[in-house]
Amino acid sequence: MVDKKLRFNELFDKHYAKVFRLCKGYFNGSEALASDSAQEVFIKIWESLDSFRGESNVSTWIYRISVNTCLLYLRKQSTKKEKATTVFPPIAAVQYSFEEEDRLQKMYACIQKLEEKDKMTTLMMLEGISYQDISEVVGITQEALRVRIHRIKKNLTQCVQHGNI
Amino acid sequence: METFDELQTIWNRQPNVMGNTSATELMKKGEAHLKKVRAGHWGTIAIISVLIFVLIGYFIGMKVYQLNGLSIGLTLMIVVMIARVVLEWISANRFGSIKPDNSLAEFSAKMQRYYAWRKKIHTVFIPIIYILYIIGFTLLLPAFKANLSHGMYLYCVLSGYGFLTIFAFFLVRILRKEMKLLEFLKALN
Repeated sequence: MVDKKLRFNELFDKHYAKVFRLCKGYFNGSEALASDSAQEVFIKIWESLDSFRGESNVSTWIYRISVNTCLLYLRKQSTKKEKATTVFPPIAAVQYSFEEEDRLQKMYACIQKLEEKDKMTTLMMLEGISYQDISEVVGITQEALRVRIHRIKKNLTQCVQHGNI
Repeated sequence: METFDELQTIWNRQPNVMGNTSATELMKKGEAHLKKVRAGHWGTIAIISVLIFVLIGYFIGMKVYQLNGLSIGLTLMIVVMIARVVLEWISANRFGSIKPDNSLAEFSAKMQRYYAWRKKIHTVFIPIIYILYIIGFTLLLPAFKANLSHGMYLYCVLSGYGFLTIFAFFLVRILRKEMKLLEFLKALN
């Protein structure tokens, strides 16, 4: 049990922020939904930690749980509204202008226009997750992923510029 | 002209926001959730099982051994309740076997199969169970009328059918919700 707690603490410190941003992107920038769903992801990680046999990278394992949890988070519980979970204010590590904030909002809006699998792929790609991990999370070959990412990059850039995909 | 690299820079520069939580809090929530899931699973089965035992107790206590409306009605209600327990059990086990650490393609395919199966449960088995339960309950009414006061009889009729009406409403709501989810999963694959 002590080992499990130590391991969980380690995973939480290393991956929570990334999972949070992934969920935030999926929920159109909503920090409340991102917070609740990221918590659900880590609750599942805690529950499944004993059964993790290391057949894949631990990061792949975590992103698989994250993607599947976000995907069904709102749909499984249609009554679940955006809860007023307390979220810490942003830590402005770098100067972030209103113009950049505006473009980030445009990015969120454009990501919402993508198909579900493309949405998840985009968010993982933006988070700098390796192509090998993404292909294992989504369940497609790396070749197919490269083609998909090429198309997504083109569409996303076009959408942020012109507002449509 | 904006390039994808510029978008990536904007993404990377967004301020880090952390939910108001900690690993310790989530471990506690995880443990509580596991207990809740187990309690919920066993709770549903326990409630239905108690109902079955009450019906069987009534069956034996009232010495209803000959074939009449009362015995047929009670038998029907007991049998469909047992069927409901078995379905609930299978359903919980099937859902529990879908692990969230599958790849997205595998996970969505398994969820799709699960909800297609649930659709069959909701549209075929539950209506049959529901109708048989109503028939069973209706067959009990003459015995109630003969043995209970008029007021008590009216209470049994109204509360019995009232409960079944509300139950039907909830079943339709669950069915609609799960069918929407099934459509979403189909579109995903």
